Amino acid sequence: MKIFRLFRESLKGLLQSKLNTSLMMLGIIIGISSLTVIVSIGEGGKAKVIERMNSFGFGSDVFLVAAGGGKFFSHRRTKATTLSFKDVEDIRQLPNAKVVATYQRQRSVRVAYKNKNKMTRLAGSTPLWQVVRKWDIVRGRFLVDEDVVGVKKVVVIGDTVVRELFGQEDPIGKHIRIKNVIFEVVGVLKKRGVTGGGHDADDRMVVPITTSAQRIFNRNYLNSIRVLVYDPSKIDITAEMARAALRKNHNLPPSVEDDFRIITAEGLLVWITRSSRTLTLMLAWISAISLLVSGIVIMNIMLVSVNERTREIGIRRSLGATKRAILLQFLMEAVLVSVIGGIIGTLLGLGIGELLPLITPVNTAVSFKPFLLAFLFSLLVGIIFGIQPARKATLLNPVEAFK
Amino acid sequence: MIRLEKITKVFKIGTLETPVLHGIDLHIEKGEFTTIMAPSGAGKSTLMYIIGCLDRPTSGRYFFDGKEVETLSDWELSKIRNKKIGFVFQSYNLLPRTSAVDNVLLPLIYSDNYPGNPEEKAKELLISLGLGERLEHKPNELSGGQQQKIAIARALINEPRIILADEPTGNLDTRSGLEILSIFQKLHKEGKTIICITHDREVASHARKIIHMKDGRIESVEEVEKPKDAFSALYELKAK
Repeated sequence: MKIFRLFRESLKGLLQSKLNTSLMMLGIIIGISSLTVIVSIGEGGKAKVIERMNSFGFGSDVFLVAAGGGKFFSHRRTKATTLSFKDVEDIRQLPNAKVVATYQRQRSVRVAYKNKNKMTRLAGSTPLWQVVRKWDIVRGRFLVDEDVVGVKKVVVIGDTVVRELFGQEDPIGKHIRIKNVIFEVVGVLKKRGVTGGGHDADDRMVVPITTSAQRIFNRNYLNSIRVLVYDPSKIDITAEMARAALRKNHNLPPSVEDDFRIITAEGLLVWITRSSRTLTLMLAWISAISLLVSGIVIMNIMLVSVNERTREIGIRRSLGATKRAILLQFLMEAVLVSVIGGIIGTLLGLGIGELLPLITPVNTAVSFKPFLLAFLFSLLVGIIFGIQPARKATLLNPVEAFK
Repeated sequence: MIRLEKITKVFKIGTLETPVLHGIDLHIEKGEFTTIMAPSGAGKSTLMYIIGCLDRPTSGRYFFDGKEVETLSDWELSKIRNKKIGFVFQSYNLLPRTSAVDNVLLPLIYSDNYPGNPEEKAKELLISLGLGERLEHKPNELSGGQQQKIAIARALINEPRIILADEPTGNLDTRSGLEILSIFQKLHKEGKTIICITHDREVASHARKIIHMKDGRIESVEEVEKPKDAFSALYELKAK
């Protein structure tokens, strides 16, 4: 194939002026690698949110009522103390509500067994916790209604807690100390493992909510209510009804915003895509500017190169190269430079993406997207900025080239 | 096979018009060895570029193989240069940083499929020109005479019918020049049409026909009864 022979000439041309070639590639490498890094960060952020959703046990049949107003995952400074057992009762009355689980929780609570102790997550809940979370027990039992009614000091623990406090010892029936209150271990949750983002699902304990309210937290308000519905298609209506009931319970006048958040899986997804759209737009600008600059660099160097190679062009024309062949040769040089630069840039960007989580709190994820984007963008840059120098090469009078 | 009728060429630089050729009539038959002899500045290179389909005349008609060149497209002209004409330049015009074999193979990049093994053919040509030891050498590692032989091998790779040479011995010493001329005479014997442009009477007299040019016009056509034999001259030179 003639085109393949021309391709080889382009490759030779690039190899013969390594300085020019590497200068042209540099811009593309920087542009594409930064593009790759930003895409990886975007994907990583998205993955983190989805992972968090999964760790919440979120599906289309679950919604969550969380204490405190505002956005889904924004951190609140003031403690919302308005979510109550009365709210739980009212939601339970809603027609579509199948299971309503109640939560009190704290992210970090000290727990001790003999001379060992660790910090772990603590939830105060009811037997329904197991139902909404769809979580099995491997040893012992989960909480029962009796535990809740009787304010029993019993605890179900996750695999990580077992491992760190008990080692090989059987934890069932043993006593552990949570905030100076002695609890009996009655069950062990099935291991779910650590998620990609480092969230250890097994590092947790569950106690009856009455016990957590009276013995540990000394408060009656809740952190969240999780609602499992019968009909997922009516989840929005159910959520709206819950909202109305809670606003009434909390005596909120119409002008005041909710002091709680209702989170549905769909709502979360909308929020995620909206936030990533802004990011996408931003990265589009950054990459567009860097690629524009590298395109201009390629065009300039190629124009100079065409001038320097006037004689070569004349020789090739005298040996039978058509204008088209000359055009293709120079265009392919520009495209080759930018596509090879694009590939190197993607690999470099992926490498940086791998390193970033190690030195910064940023989360990144590898996907095929950067490869596709890099190939497309570098190809475009090569063609757009290579066509002008290549055209210039064809317009050269071969006779002039020999003077 | 080459017929020029009232060919003129005027170069325009801004508003300044410089006429270089004033109505050239020329006829070259297949298998002829012709030299076009003229002092420098007489427009002989311009004439060669027009004959070689590298440049177009300002006016007049040029028939190559019976086809009027004026009517041919860039693609058709390129095909003629590729297949039917082999160029040999005064300054060799080899690609630098490219081996002898690859230089010889250059025209094939622009050809349709080549019958046989092109690399074998290129090596064969170089060996027949005495460059068997220099196949992978780059131009800057070779003498002028050796470079010009590579250029001749390159001109021959596509087996053209015409060799078009512009001062092929201009940059060479006497001996290398004679070598080149003896190659041309050999090619002529094998049936190639050879057109050689020179300012040197000594070179010109190796051809059977000398066309004298001056100031963009053909002054006279001289038939050489007994062209000089470059091969025997070379032999004598070696004997000295």
